Amino acid sequence: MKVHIKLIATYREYLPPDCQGKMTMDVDEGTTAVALLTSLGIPIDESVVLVDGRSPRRNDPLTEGVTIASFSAIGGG
Amino acid sequence: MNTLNGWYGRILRVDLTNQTYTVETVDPQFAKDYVGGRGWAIKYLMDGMDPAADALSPENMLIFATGPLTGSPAPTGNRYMVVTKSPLTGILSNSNSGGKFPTWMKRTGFDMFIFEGKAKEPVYLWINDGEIEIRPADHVWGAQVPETTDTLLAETDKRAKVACIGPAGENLVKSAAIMNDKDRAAARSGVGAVMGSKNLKAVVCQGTHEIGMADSDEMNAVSKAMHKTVGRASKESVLRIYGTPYVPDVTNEMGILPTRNFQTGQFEGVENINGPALNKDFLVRPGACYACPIICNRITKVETPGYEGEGEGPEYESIGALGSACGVDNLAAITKANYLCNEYGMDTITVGMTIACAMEMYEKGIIPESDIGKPLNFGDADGMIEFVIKTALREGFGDKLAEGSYALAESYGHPEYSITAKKLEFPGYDPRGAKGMGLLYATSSIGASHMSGDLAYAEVFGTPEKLDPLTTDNKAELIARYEDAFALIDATGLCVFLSVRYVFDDDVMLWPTRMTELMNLTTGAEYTPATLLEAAERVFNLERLFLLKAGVTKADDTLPKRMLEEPLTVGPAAGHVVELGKMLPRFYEVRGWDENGVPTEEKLAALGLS
Repeated sequence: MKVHIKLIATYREYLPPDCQGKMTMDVDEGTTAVALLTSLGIPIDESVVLVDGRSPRRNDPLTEGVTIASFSAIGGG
Repeated sequence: MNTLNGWYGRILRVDLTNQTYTVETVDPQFAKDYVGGRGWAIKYLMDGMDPAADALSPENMLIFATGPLTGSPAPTGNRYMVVTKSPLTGILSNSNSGGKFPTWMKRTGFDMFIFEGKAKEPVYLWINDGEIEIRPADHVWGAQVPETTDTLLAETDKRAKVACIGPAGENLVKSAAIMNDKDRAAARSGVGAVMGSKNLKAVVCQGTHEIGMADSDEMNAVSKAMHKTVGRASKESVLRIYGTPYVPDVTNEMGILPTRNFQTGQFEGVENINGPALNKDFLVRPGACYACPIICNRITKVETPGYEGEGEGPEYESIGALGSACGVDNLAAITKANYLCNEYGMDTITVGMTIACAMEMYEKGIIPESDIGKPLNFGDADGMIEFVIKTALREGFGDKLAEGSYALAESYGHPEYSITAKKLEFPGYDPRGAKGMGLLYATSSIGASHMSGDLAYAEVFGTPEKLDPLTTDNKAELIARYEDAFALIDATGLCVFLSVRYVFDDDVMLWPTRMTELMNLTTGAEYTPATLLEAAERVFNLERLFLLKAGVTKADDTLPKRMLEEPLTVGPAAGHVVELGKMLPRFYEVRGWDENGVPTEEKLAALGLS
């Protein structure tokens, strides 16, 4: 199934430079956001993970068409 | 505690009416009980003026206050507070700034300056160690902030640091800021207008005093280790690389980026106004306040024709207010408007949000084009810039904008379009998608300020842990604690960016273990985390008493109709409003206040305030 990835600010570097942090990927049924982001090398323990803008439960499987966003939790506004 | 460390225990009180000054000393027990900065200042304000007085009259007091950690070896010990009665809100104002001026102020040998009365002609204060002069300022009256700063440094001492107002403060614009080091701002709720009303153009500080430390060796060692840890962690951090402009992508993703005067929380132009866009086109280099290893400032330059300029910023809040809230996705124009706010000396949040309010009321046909002099639609970047300048100069329709969004909207019979709490414009988090922030805006001592207890750290940024922003559960307890923790930060003289992560325990309830260590090594006052938080609670409650005496009632602890009754329609917070009624009674209870939001006798007695 297809899901969208949106990596914010410094996390853009976990995807190739020309895609500006955004990519649509095919993933297996049952994949979790944490598993997907970990596979890209993102340090999950220092990160905020959002699925369609909401915080997922750690073991929630992804569903078709969702957007997974992530950014460093070492920030502030 | 008989001797003072960390504090000098000396206050400079300047009588501008009679052009005289006195030096006062501080009781050590008072120093400890109120910590410093925001804490000392509210006590002097409460004892020294009638909270119901007109904010722009000579009866108002204007206080500059450093904390015991200002000028200490601690990382980010570079903050000061401006505390006064606000002409924008009619309640308290406490506004924080960093840069270099606060440390230089502390080096003059005073913890606090109090300005009273009103000078007959424009003046500035020049403090060179122990020498204090009240000098004429006619020659810089009318000058913008950079020119004022350069002129006064040339005639005093190039090594000195300046805090001053620009034309906006002179014109009593209610969003006027007090600027220091040219680009840093004690911005919120019109403190610059109070300075202007006193005919005080600037304060220039130079000094060589060093504050005594209770345990200087250990304080130096601990601070050095912190500098190293924070510096290492910050090197590749998002705040160093993008600064706060990384935030629009985050708040947009959560559906809480203020867009078109908070009509929605997602902005189609977000990718034009985010951190990568700023870095690509305008960033020269990151900049730092004094003794700061985080280095989050943005030194920028714009060469785009029509928007040329250079300076600091924009920060996230400025991008939100002057950008998405106005429907503007032209980052050159936003950056230019941010420079103009710095040069004229204004708060980018109130200025931007007030223009956004005017845009909505124009588009709804409530403000006629004849009043504005031209169309003023969302997305009009040049119109936004034009009215930033006209606000500062009170020119044409700018005269109405200069009163802030509440007075503007009320004057047309529709105060509900002013997105304010206690007449202070919202910062860049739509609380319908961050419920704790809604309770904060409704209960902070100065109105809608994120800096009064920024639960966005947890609700938005995942620090120390990510909380569900859409639930009201436990938010009353959290906001009470965050308000106290932020009062403590503002009292000590540290920066929030350091504090949330490094001086509290790594727990969402922000327990000040490391802060206590820093404070004890500096002051020797034998605080515990509990007594420090109790001092912060004392400060917050005294501020509440000031508000009550200024006329605030329970009915003012509220939010605009849009936040309470109109759900967001897009994004993850679609369908949500702020359920303030679920949180506020519990908040009063947690605070030890009665059902009308008045601190009980028992609470006041426990805090030594009765």
